[in-house]
Amino acid sequence: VAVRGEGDDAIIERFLAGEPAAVAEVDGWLARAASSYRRRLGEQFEDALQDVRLEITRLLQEGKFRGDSSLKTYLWRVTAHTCLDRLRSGRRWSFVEYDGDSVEAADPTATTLPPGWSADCDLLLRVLARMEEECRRLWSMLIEGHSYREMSDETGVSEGALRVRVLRCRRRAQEVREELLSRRPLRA
Amino acid sequence: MMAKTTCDWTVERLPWWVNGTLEGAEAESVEAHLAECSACRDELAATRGALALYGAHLPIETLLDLVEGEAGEREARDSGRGAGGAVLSSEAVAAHLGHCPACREQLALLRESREAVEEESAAGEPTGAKVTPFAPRRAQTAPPLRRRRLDHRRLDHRRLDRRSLALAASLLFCVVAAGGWLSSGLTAERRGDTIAELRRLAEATAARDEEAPSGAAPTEVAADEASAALAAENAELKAERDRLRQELADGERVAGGVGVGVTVPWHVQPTVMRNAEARPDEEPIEVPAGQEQLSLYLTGLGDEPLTLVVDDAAGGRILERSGLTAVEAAGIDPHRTVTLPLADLPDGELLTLRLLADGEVIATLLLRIVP
Repeated sequence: VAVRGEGDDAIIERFLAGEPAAVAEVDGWLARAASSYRRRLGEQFEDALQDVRLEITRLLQEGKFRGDSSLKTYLWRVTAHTCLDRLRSGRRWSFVEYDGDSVEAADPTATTLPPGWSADCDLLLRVLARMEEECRRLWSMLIEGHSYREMSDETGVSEGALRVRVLRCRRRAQEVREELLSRRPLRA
Repeated sequence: MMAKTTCDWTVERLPWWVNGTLEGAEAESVEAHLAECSACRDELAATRGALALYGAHLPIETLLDLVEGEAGEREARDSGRGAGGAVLSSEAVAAHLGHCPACREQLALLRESREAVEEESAAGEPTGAKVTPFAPRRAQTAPPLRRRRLDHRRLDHRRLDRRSLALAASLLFCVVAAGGWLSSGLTAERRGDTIAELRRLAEATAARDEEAPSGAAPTEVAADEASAALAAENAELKAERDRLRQELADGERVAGGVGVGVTVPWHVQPTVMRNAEARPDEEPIEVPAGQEQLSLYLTGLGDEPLTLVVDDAAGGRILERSGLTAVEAAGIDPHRTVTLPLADLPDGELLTLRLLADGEVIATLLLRIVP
């Protein structure tokens, strides 16, 4: 059901024409929607807000707003999405990926899934839910960029035992994934 | 080291080689072994798969749908969209929210953001804030965003209507009542009077809003007269509001009153706000060990030199730093920031942190670093 708000088209038209009142109104909505991320984003907040403004301008210029929701809700979604995206990309460490003879920075959670590993988010979440709390904790520490010495200090487990546990958690995840895959009905 | 580089030895270290924390000879050995062992390269691929699995979070679109569903703007659905529009089962979503504090916190942030937008809707049309068109930052020479932001937030008296006046008065009242942001120098009695005045203003404008329809005259002349009378009364109320706001601001400035917020990385602990005076029964701010620093967000301060002291529970001085200047920080609200390095502070102890300006304590925080 289209719930495009009354006057949304007019606001968009005035906004794109650069009418100050419309620009201020939209900017006010964006600032309000983004305000809750200010402390989390810290120094990045202004850049994030500017990204939102540019993105909104682009989307509206390209007619991407289809009226599935009110304009205000649409702007909220874009703002929230942009801010959360920034939060999620704020990793402490860069990861490395083995690529033939070279070693280069890579994002292990983006597009570097190995062959045979489905990027199906639902499957990943189901597997993750089946894993033990300790496994989730250890691998979270890994993703946060802790060395095994730091993890050993933090968990009180010796370095050797810790490495073995992490390996077991990885193999266990593979087993669960294969088990869930074998139960899945084939998709058309 | 090279002699130890068997497959088992290598495979055990792959997770840390991938996360970039394996160093020196260990890293070199792993790389050398990977170059010649295809089985271990398969293990590396599996390790990357596990990283993707354990690093999986709910797609942002799913979180957005959840919040929108709560707001009643989207048809109720028992599942969310994943990446690429794939449908996530409600079971997977619920299970993940059950064990993932990061996603729970992001969901809370989204709800907060949504509420902020809805509050504005409930309050009516925007108040006609001063208008300055924005343009892409990169295309401008230097239109200071900060100044523009402040201009945007400044209330434009010429366009302030009664509803927004009532809202402004109510908001001011909320700010006052929330505590922690006002001057310790503004006496309780005076502050109480100010609050009462603001409350009276809010009630008066609200009551008048209710009366307005029945008082509307049937003819245009009568309507004009009623409108002029309301405008005159509105002007009086605005003048009174400005006087009260100025009084509050002066009180804060004169006394050097300070509001303090503390934050550590978002995924570890939410922002905690504390009053300038810590209460004896106040819970300490708990910071997980391993954080490098925390930031104090300060309002009501200029560039006066500050002293930061940290005492242990027995009153022994652990740290003292004088001559600090709070740095002006970016953000919607004007504020300054002082950072406190945590490396020198002991874990587990109840610590008292005091911020002094001109020898006078302006903020006190209780702090504990949790091992």
